Amino acid sequence: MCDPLSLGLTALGAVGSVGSSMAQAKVAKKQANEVNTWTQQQKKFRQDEQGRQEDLRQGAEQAQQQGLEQIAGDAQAKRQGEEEARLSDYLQGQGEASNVSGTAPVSMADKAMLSGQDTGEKDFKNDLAKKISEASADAKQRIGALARVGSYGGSYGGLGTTNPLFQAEAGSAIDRQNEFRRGSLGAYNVERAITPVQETYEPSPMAGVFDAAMSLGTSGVGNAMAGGGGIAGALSKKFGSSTLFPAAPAVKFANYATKGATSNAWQGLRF
Amino acid sequence: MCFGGGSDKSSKQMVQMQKDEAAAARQKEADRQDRINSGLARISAAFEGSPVMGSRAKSYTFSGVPTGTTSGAAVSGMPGFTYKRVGTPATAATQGTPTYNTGGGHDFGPSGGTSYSGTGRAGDQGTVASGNSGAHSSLTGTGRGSVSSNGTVSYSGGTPATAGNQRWVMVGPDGKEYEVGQSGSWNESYDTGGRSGGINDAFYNKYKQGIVDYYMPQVGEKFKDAKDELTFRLARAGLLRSSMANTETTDLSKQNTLAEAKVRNDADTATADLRSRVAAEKQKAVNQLYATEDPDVAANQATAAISNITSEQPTNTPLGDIFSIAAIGGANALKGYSSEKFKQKIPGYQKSTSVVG
Repeated sequence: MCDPLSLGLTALGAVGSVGSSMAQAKVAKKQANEVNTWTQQQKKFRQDEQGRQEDLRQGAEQAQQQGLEQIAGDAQAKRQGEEEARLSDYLQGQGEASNVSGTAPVSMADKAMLSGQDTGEKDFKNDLAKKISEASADAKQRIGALARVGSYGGSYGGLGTTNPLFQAEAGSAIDRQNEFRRGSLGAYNVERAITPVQETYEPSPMAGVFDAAMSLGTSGVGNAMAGGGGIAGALSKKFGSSTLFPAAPAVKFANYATKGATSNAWQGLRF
Repeated sequence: MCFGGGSDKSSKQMVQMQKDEAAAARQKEADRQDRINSGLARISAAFEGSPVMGSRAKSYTFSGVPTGTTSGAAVSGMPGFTYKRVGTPATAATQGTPTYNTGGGHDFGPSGGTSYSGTGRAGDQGTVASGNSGAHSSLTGTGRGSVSSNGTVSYSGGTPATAGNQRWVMVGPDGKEYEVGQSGSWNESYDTGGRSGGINDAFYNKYKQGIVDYYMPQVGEKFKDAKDELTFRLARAGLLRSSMANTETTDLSKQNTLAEAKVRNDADTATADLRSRVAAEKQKAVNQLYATEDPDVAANQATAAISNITSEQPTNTPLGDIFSIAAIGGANALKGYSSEKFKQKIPGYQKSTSVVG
């Protein structure tokens, strides 16, 4: 029924099509694998970054809590008490840098006595000693009050001095963690920008030949199935020659042109 | 390629470049963090000084190694100390060459229908498998078969297992090996709490001392002048050795004490201000460090580099083309069929013939 050439061309076209499709399927599979690999890698990047961010966040939180502990009520009360004691001693001339360089502290009693008084009577001396003692106690009390006020405020170890320092320290530690978080996030954005490997299919240069063979072959098959000549019928049509009346004489266009419009236009023409 | 297979084009090279860029960005960030850490340490050392380390003897008793220890692993908390596996390892027994003999009329050995199994270590007695006595008994277990009724087998050249004496020791920095249970001592380096260099208490005390040295003599001079004036006035009034003189004297002295305390308090407060200024300067130095290590610059550069590497979104090549081609083929066949049928209806139409056959 069918001519072998039609069948052969159809088969050739089919083989080419199948080959093309198999190649495309292979490429598609490779692409799917690449996308899967990319997804896994991106997942790992994301998890790693989440871990890093969490570690750094905890570091910042730890610094914040440490800073908070240092300025908590109990801690401040303790520091204030210690500073008050230190400052009180210092203001009374005890400790480093409390007296003029190279001089020893002089007691109030030694400093108080006026010249000529050292030869006074016993009652006078006792009275002087008693009053010096009272004055000393009074001065000490006032210095103690000054130390107390200073310890709450701007003395060397006072709360007004140390609290901002502790907060600055905690803030610096938090800044460091945030700085690292920012940097890590920047690197992660670069990792995120990685794209999957692209597998693209490029048709064979022979694809057109196979398509033509398929087209020709199937036309021939159809022709043959209708009882025609198969590929011959198809080919004759493709090349412009009539297959309806093959015995008809060829068209003579020159005659047609010279006979004019009144002549039979169909004369000498094959149908 | 063959039969219209075509070829695939991959962007692996481009993606590899992106990966390299990302890895470089991650490494740069790690390096940047290291530089920040070391920069902060330098700033800290510059402002607060370096810790003064001391050395002290510490005793220990080597009690054994943690699970999973490998030879050469460092001992936790003891710098310079490592664990080491020493001694001869245990060896497994090796099988000698068997010699099979017949006995009691029965073959023994691989060729005689009686089977033998076991490791066959020299010097070990073989055993007859339970219920297998007789002509086709089977020797199982370890060792040399020596059953008279079933034949004998002897081994030569095997070696027995050895226990070995392998064990863990701890090796000190000087190379000395310590066995389990052995005690010793080593020098531990520790932070004494002191600081060397930097802006320390000595720095602040010096500042404070300067203030005291400047103002305190003025107080002393004023006090001396006041005392002289008081002495003169009391003497002129004939009250130098009176109760009133004592009152005035002690009052003057108290004022002096309070004036001195005020000088010290001012010095202390000024030193506190200095301390705050130093802290602010330290913060400036830290900010400068962060400014020189701006991560946005590095990250933006890397991201821009990746963006420049042309990339596309993933696309899966459609698999349905084969059906499209088949449809075209089917359409062509239908077209050919219809065309031929149509032509056959035309009077005078002559069928074309096949070009082949």
